Amino acid sequence: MAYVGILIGFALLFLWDYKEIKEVNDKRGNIVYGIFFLAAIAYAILFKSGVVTISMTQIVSLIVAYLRGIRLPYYFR
Amino acid sequence: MKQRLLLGLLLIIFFTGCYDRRELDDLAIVVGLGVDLADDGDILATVEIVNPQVLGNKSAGGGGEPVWVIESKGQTLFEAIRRMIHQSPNKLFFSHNQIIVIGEELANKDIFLVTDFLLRVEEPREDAYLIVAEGKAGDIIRAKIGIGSVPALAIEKMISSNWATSQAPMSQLIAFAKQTVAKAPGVVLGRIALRSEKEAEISFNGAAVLKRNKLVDWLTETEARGYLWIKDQVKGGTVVVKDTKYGGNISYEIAREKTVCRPKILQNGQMSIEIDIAVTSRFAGLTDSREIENPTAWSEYVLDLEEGVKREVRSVIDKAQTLQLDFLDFGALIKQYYPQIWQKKESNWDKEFPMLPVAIKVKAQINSVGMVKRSR
Amino acid sequence: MVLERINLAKKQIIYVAALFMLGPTFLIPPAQEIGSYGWIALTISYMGFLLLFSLYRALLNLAPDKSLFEILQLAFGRWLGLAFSLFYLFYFVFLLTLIVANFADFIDSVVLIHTPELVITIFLVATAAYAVRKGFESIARISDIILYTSVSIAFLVFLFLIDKISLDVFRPVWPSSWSPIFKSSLSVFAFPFGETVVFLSIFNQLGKPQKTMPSLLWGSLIAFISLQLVTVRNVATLGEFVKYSSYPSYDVARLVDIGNVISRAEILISINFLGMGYIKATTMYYSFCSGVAELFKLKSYKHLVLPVGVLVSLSSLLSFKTTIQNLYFIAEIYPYFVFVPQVIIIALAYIVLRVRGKKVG
Repeated sequence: MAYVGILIGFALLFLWDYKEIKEVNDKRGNIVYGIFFLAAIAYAILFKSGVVTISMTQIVSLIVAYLRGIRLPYYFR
Repeated sequence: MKQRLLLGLLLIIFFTGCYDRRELDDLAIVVGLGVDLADDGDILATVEIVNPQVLGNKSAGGGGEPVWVIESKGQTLFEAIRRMIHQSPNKLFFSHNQIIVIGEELANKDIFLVTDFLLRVEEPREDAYLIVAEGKAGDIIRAKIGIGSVPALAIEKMISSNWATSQAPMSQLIAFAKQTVAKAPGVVLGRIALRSEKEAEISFNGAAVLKRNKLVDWLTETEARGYLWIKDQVKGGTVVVKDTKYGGNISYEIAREKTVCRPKILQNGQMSIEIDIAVTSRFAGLTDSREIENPTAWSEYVLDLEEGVKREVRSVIDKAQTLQLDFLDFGALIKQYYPQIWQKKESNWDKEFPMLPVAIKVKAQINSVGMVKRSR
Repeated sequence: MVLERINLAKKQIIYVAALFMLGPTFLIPPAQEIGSYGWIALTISYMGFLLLFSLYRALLNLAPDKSLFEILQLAFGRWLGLAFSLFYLFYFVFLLTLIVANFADFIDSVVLIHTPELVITIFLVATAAYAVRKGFESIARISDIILYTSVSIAFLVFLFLIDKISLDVFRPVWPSSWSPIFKSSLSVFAFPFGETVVFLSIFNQLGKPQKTMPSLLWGSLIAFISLQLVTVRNVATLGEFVKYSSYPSYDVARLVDIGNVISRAEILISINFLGMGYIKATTMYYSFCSGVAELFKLKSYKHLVLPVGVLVSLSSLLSFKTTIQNLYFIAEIYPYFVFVPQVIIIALAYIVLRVRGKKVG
């Protein structure tokens, strides 16, 4: 059910954008839009299913902690 | 068309109201909280809940009791309060809580058991009064006092109008938190006591001295006044001087007061505290035999007042030094003005404080004799 | 190439810059962990910002009319420039995520406790997305009303509390050890002040940098003075307690009580936070979308807004589990990360362009 909701939500978003896309008529723009849109759908589905619990904050924290040579407190894992 | 659809969607969103809204008649509004230690070591919480329906239409009358008291037990204060849901039809709402009364036994054990919860949870206000009860806090909350219909609000009034005597600190939760996180060695809170069980007579005077989180001693009215002099919190009240030479009592009413405490290094290199009090007052009663128009008598009156204030301040300093507990926070003063010296003294302060010389200087002024110059 | 011309009055640039720097820092005042020395750390970091500002200005003087991404490509060549540009874009969207996370965390833990964070986040991002699609001018247009209300609210709360403040907590004036103060000035430098690097990416849309840079400076001055006011107010009211309070400004406003008439002013602080954080979020949002459009030579940025919004909302939901984690991040991770885009890359670009001489511009 939740997945259907997500898909409906994304369909609405796409409808919203569709007019804009047609008006601008930019091939390169459509490719970039497609990438972002698919990434968003994938992230949403993975988020809902609980497979992915990583965010930009965690990635940055891990990299910076590695470069600084410090151990992250346990609540980051 | 599209706009209308959008508007419709927006209306759907906005007319649904808040997600977790609570209407007034679904709330149990808490106005007073008392916390005690139960016999088995649990926390015993007593709350006073107002009944807004009765308060709203006083003229109708007979709508039931204006307040309602619930008592509940738990391993922690939070558990005790949550368990009250078993007894109350509505969820307790703490945003209007005015007083927090700590029972004596609990204060003897650990007051942080109460304050942490009250600071951490978002509903209770930090400017609620935090006071210590002589005896059980539950008895104070349950006592039916005052001409007003809500006892807890009557107690709140009692505390906030206490400036007219200045004989107990109006201690708020936030002030307590400020002092404890600043690692003050002692904290002073107001004292409340049930004087007579039958007539439910409550008095708010004097103070409780806590060694960080444990009650160690009580301050009398005079000592509490002394504390307030030092903290520059005297807003009014009377100073009574018993005159042995001329007979009778002189009562002075305090009009204004300004205290400045400063650490000072004495000539022999010893650290000391200097308390400068400037007090303005007026006569509120003269029963001695002096003639007020007489210039020498006038200067004697001023000296008497200065002596009276000094006695009050001295009493609390003596108390602190006998308790060997710096609840007057002179250590923080030294830290503020002589940080280097304080670093050396800090670890040994408990031992040094009882020997700390304190100089009290009072500069009194009498600016009004009242409506009559003489009454006899 | 200039993607879009933004016509703003000088005043509006000042206001947007000021609000951008005030942002969420108004609620969680910078350097609260060092309590009464917060004003020193704030001053030091503002000095640092003035140095950074002159660096930015020198860079823009070398290559006027160029955007940040064009400058990077000029300085480092095509591929390295592209890589750095992508890094900047990541930084923008990351910062946007952080702001949204801060927002949702605050609202969820203080104002609307039982509302799911998802609902709050979606509404925040949706309103921001709406404004961004309407263009930067519409964002700037509400800036003056937000700035006036926020600063006057901060000042009013200060006046309301005047009988509760004590200046003794500022003693001793000079700290016994400076290292915590420098450490927290680093994080203050990174958190509100250094983030102005975002403006470099939209400056060429705003007009000549000679005209817009002074506005940025004035905006930063407004932000500095207001932040200093807030820091001093909080420390003077809460004393040492300021170190341990999750939201000191909120706690301070709760203490307002004037004759039982004017009391409980905390909702004003929430309004402040929402308004200023909104400007910050929309600015970041706009610069990310227009940055992507510029870098990939798109004709419009507008249709990127919604998918980006979804990504940002989800990522911000996963960002922080607790405030403690957030605080650790702000103190230990964030300043070290953002030092690279805020200072190092800009300084490198400046040096390279300087050494190469006057070939550009």
